[in-house]
Amino acid sequence: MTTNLAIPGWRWMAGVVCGYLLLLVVCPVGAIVRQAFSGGVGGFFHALASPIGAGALLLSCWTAAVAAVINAVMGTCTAYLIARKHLPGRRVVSALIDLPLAVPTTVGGLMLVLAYSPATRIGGWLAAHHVNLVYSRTGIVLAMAFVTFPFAVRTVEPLVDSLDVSLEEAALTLGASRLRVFWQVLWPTLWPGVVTGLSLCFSRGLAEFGAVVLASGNLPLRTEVAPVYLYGLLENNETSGAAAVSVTLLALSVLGLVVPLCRPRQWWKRLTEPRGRRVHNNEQVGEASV
Amino acid sequence: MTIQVTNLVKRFASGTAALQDVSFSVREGEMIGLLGPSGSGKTTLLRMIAGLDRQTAGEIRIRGQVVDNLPAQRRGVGFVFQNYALFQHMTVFSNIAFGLRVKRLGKREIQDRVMRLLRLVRLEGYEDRYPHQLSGGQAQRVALARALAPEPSVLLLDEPFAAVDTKIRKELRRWVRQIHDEIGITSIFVTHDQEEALEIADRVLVMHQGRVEQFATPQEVWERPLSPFVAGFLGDVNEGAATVRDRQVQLWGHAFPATEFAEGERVRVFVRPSDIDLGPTAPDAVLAQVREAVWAGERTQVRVQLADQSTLQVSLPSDRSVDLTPGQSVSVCIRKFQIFTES
Amino acid sequence: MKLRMALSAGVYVWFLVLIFIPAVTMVEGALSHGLSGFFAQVLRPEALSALRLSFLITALTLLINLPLGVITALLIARRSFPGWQVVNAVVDLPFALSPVIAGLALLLVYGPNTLLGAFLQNHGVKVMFALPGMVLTTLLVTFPLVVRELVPLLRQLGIRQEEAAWTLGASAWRTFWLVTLPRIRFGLGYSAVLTIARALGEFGAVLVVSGNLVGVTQTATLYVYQATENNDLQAADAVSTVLAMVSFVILILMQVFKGRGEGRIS
Repeated sequence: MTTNLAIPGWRWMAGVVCGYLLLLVVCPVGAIVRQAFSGGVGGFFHALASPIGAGALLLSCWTAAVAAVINAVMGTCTAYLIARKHLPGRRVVSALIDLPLAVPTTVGGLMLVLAYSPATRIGGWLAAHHVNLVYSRTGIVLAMAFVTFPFAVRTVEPLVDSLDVSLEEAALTLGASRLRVFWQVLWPTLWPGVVTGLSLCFSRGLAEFGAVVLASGNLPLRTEVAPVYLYGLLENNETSGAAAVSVTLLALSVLGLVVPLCRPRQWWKRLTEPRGRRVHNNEQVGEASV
Repeated sequence: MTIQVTNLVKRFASGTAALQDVSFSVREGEMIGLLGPSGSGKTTLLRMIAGLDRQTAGEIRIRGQVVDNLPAQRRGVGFVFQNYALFQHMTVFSNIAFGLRVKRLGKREIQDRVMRLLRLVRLEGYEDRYPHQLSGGQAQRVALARALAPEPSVLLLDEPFAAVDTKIRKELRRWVRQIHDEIGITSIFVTHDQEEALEIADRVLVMHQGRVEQFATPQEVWERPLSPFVAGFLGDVNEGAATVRDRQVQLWGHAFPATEFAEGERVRVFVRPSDIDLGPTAPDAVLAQVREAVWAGERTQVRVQLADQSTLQVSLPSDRSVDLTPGQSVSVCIRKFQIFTES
Repeated sequence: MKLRMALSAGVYVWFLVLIFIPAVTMVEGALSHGLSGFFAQVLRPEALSALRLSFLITALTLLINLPLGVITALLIARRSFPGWQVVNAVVDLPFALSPVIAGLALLLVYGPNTLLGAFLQNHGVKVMFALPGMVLTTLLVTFPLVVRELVPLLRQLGIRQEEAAWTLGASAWRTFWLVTLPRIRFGLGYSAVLTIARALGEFGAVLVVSGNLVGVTQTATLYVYQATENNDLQAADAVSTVLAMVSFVILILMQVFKGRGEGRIS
């Protein structure tokens, strides 16, 4: 793989790419970190400690987590049903899954508002039954879920594809219950994809701005998520505070993205192996006593 | 000398040596078979001659010119890859024309040359097909035509027949030899199949663990292997170990003369199944009992057990008149053998 | 069977609530005042200039990020130069960057109050609150899309065909044009479409660096936001529908490229 012929003038190009990344990514992100700590570590935490800011960060975290979990469950089901060809109309569904990737997030937010704001038919009916799908925390979760849904499906889909149907069928013919088949046959294979999807959804949900800003209502302490709060700070020229919130948010997002890189498959093995061994021992004991 | 390789060494970044001090030279128009088990360094050697990998030390000359600092583009070497590496997005015609277009030849000339090559590889009428529409054998022939198109001075083939069905394989390799004779190009092909190497190569270079074990004609490699590895690698073989006593080695009831070995030295004896004769029992003959006889068409594979409980594998022409029912006593006569020191 | 139907029903309901109803409502809303009403909204000069600006930014982004993305992907997939793992990680960083943070980050380096920004401004280049800044921001958020699509593809394709081209005398450059590029064309198409979608749809980052001057630095998504804030839902709806129609084309292209090139999302 390492022939000098692989890329024309690769040294020169590596220089260009590194320079580009330096100007575009490294310097700006570095500037944020520097700005966040311009008042020392104390200043950094002081900026975070404002009740509105802390509330916004907390709200962002749990709404993104809820959206990610819902999407992981629904996404896994969708991926499974599409790959197993069980879902009627799966062609259309499969294409529509990518819709949130294709539409601008603002448009996505607007779609939700137009469909579910109390002024509309559906929204009005729901509001009469005390369900507010927009301008509420539910709205935040819904907007995040809308934007991140493709990730939840697409990370699991290839794994379902790789799974042999006959494995499931064999387990069923051996008399295993549906739940058992899921837990012992499907889950060990799908697990890494679900975790990757979960973490991507969480990171992107945390970062989402366009859809949330339209669908949430942005009431400080009630429905104002961190990126929106951040934008408010910027409008008021509070750059240092904004940088502090940014660094925190960025750190959380990076954390979310890094988790699946830590080989969840191996973690899973480490988690399950001792249990497997114990079961084995029990069996032996059982045999000995007989 | 078309190709001259001197003291070639290749070490990977991990420190493992793929080639250790390899030297040999190939004459103009020869067809060389690079034979060895997988991991013996034969593909690495081929790729270095082509300029696709760089050696750690040593020198490669093609037609007298040192090519060590020449990139693959300027070595004038044709390369046929193991899985053909045909350009999937191009037609058969464009694949073969690729090297000519790169040379910026005229349209007419390219057309003529490609058509001539298509005739040579017997694929007329296939020029508009795409690689995925070809069978393995056809793809192989396109790959060969593509490599030959720029008229290279050397043709290198990496496991050229590995991905083809066994039946077409024999046909294909004879045909490749035929083409080689027709255009008289110096060729080196890599294979792990000894039958392939022995059948079509002018000379066989046997490699093992990055070293050259023997470089000789197929007949010589077969009849006079230079090392235990070569003796064991080429075809089935009966192998035994013993100690030299009184300038002799006692094994399988036979006394093998071992004059060139020191007294008390441990040696290994190699005997091919086809170099053993079985006959009717006779006084002062070495006797054995037939344990098993498997008829396999032209030849019958027989396993016999000697008085000392050791067994020998024997391969006889099936029309032999000896009774080979299991339990039958026969006499054993070893016609040819090889002795090597233990190390 | 029962379980499967329950699962399917669950998926459908989620789908209906999340994607289908909103999409239909929007199209319905845009056309509620008839086609003429729709066109009247879209043809307003502010709306038109916003759309034009969005497409201009998208085109510039594509022009810069596509070639650079290909080069980066080639470097990551096929060369191990010292420190390439750092490059690899840096490429992914924009994924974790909230758009607002991306905007702020660029503002801190290229804004008028910074060393570099002031220097550029003195030489007549206004970066922030102008077109260059908006393009820069869009470049930042879309950069990983091409690289992340192409790296696995290049690794999977291997390098045999390129080697074959070299032994046939083709230079590295020609090999790239004649062999590598055609082989990755569907993956490249897919990532280009993703880039277009993201660039057209970028909002938060652009909002921060644009200044949002009507008719000058207002992109289509900013226009939609502004109109929604001003409760001019009809205007928002009309421009959104235009964007959504573009998205529809994008969606179809995505399916085409994915079907043919086995594309995957990052």
